[in-house]
Amino acid sequence: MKNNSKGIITVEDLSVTLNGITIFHPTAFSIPSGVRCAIMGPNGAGKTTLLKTMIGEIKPVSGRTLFWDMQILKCYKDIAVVHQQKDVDWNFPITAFDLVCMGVREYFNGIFVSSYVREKAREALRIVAMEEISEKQINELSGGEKQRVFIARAFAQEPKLLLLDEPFAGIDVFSERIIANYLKNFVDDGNAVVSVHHDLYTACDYFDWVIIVNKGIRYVGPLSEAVIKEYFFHVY
Amino acid sequence: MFIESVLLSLLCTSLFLGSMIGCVSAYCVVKKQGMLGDIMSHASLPGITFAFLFTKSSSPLLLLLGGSISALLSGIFFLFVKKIAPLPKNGALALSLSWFFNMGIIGGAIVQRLLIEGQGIVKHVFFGNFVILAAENTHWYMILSFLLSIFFIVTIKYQKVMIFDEFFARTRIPYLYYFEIIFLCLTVIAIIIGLQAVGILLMGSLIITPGTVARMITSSYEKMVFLSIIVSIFAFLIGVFGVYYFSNIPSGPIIALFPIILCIGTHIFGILYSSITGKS
Repeated sequence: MKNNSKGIITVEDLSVTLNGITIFHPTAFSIPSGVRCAIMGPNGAGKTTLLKTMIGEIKPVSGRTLFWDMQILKCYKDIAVVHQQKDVDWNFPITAFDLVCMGVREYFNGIFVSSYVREKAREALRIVAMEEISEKQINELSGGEKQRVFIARAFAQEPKLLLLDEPFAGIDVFSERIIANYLKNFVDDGNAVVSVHHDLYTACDYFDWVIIVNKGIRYVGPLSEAVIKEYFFHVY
Repeated sequence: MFIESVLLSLLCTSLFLGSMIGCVSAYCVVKKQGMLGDIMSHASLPGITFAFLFTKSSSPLLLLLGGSISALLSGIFFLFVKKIAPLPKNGALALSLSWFFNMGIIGGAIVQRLLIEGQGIVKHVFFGNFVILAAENTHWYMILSFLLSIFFIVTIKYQKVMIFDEFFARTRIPYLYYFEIIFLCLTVIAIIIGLQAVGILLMGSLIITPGTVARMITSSYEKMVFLSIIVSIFAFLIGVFGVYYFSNIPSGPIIALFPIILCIGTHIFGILYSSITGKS
């Protein structure tokens, strides 16, 4: 635990048990603002569990996660979450454009989707280079296109913190570069990204901070080739 | 004059009931809860028969209250079984259906054996009788159906988010759990109101088919709700005229038949269209 200063995310004495197995013993760490943080570790190490516990989808046995020193319910509008695609109903009748509209904060105002919401959605689609296929049904898109649309929806939320669960899983190099570029610009604007990631080769290019997970938190701090060599030698 | 006023009342009831059933049908189809809707309509039978047995009253309001309670219990029973037993979703649905419908059949058999006055109302519950529905004081049916339809239309955006991406919905709608309970209760209410017109046996069909027809035609949830409403209203209108001209036929089968024919027709048209144009 190299970093315990107050940051954008502060995890205090977090302990998680799933199906009777303790995934995390009481642990504490914080993530500073302005970083692209990867949660890394081998399969089944608890990367997604950690992410879901932080946002309250999994109830911890003890401890809590604070965002800007607040409970998530008080600041949920400033946080955008992109889950794994398997959690979505792909047969639902919806276009890529409609999906991005859902992310805009004012989406629920009024019965009809306002022109303001539409403009925000178009802007978000433009950033991920998806405006040309915005009227396509969601189940007609490729894996990479789907992921870009979900990132666009997260962008449309205008968050200060982006939480992603394996955003680069199963997508082509072109889409991966677009998403990585977007994440870099997003953080350069003073925001933060926390993402579950599994690819050791691209980790240092896409992220500058890391939480290494393997039946507990093994390391929290800046990411470098040396860190990967030192910690992943033990992890894998 | 009397016939004209009854016909007008039936037409108005068709409009409001059709709108409500259309909304619920679209919602249930995309949420993949059509089967649950069918089971809840069957599961209302024990509530209706036992309400009749205990009160000896043939008041529709009382019987439908009994039906609502048992339908809601069947939904809760399904969720409970799904949570505690290592059964697939279909298994839990089948268990709920067999348990509650069997109870209803037993209740129905007791009603028949005891020869209680007014037991004909229970028979109507099986196949539906639109005329009785309209002859009763239908204002509360209409008001409730209207309010339900409005609620469903106003909350379309919430439904889209909830059904399409539940995890995302949890981050956008803080009280999502309560929304889901509200929609489940509204589905039960819609089923119970529609029961008198369509009957227990065919209510499931009316919950599934208008939404299915609409889903086959359009790829937009808003348009789907609208089309589902149109199909449902037409089904009820055809039911009204069917009952008007063939008074010895129960309204349920006539109402349920139109969406089924439309569903088959749309499917055949879809196959022909895609084979000619090459588009899906």
